[in-house]
Amino acid sequence: MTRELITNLPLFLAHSLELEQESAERLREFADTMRHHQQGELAALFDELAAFSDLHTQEIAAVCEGIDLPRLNPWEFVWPGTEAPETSGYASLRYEMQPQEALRLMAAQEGAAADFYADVAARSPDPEIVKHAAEFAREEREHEALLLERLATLQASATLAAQPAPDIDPPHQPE
Amino acid sequence: MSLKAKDYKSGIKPIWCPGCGHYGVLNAITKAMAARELDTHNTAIISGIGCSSRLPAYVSSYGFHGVHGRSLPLATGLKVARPDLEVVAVGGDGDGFSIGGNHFLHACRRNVDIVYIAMDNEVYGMTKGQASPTSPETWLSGKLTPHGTENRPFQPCAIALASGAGFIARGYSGDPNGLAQLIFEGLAFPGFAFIHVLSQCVTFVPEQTAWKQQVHSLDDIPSTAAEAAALIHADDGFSKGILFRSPRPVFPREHASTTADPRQAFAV
Repeated sequence: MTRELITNLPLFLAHSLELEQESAERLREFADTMRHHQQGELAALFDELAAFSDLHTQEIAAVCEGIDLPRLNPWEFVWPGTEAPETSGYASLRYEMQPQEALRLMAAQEGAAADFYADVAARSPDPEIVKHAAEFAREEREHEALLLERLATLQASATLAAQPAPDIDPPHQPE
Repeated sequence: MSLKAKDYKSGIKPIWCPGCGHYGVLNAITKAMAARELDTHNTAIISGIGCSSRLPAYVSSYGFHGVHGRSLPLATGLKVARPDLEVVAVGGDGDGFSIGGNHFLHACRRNVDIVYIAMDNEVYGMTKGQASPTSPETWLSGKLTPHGTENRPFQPCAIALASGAGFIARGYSGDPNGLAQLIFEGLAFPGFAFIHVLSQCVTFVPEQTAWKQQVHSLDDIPSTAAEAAALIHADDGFSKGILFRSPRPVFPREHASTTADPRQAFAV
């Protein structure tokens, strides 16, 4: 799945750290964007999810302590796609987005991160990398399950709006 | 201590639409700045007018949000006056290829050592969705052009090559890491570096979300202008990578002084 095999622990940990940091930064950008567009509920949700990424970053940073990590340029990481697997593309956002869409999107990103780690665990020849990658894959899968559970609760709840939120600034004005 | 990409973002939050491609370009610019380890106090980002021209406010560097279509004259003047600065001009397709089209030709020809990042979404988004110079001929959703633009779209990379640009690249806003590498290379290039960015406007041209499936990478960099011309003319407009790279003397050139005091030539 990854383009190249990650062959040493510092390189693997550099990827893990980047994966979580990019995710947190992107989620905060999403929160800021939604806040600006008067989507307070979504902004709060993205901020909350960013805080979870921060926690995971701290956990990985603790594992990295005492290890000299390589400094890579953004294009030197060997992700399965063009960006880190837990990072949603900017085009994923819509100004009329609903919380359930955001949860679905983030669950998919957590799943992609789990797949990435599972692939590293399956292919790496280094037992230390395999140990950490398998653990991170398990954690990401848990996060995915939590988000899907939350999505199911939201969909079942009475608070879910039957209609999209009112469009307060439509891009196409009637002629 | 070297800065991280996020350290190059200012505290001002972008007000672009959710899903706008320009977020990816901002991300790429800050990543390239971090990779180049640019000093924020020795870098200036210059823009014209339009959604994308808001970008200088979002970067922690010097900046100038100038007059419509005039980012390149401003950037040129600044670089000639202060060659020690790293100067980056940014803008959109309307700003750069319509009202600023003439300046684009001459910036390519003149070859001042600046980077020009044109965020092309093929529409005037800020004024709510009119056709721009790069809109496809058959685009029917423009409010003022219900039968399509009935004009051939401007070809930025072909025109840059014909006008003498020594560095021509195309990136995609949905690939900020790949775009960061192109900007990184453009910053290192001695001379005018033109980076054409496919940057979707999901609000007025929602079909541009399909660009993600359409873009593809180039394998080789053409080594001659003739090869680059053949590549660009045969291209589907979705190739990303460096389309041409060939340094030539940068303007202004160094000249030995011919006389100590020019007033002596007019002495009576």
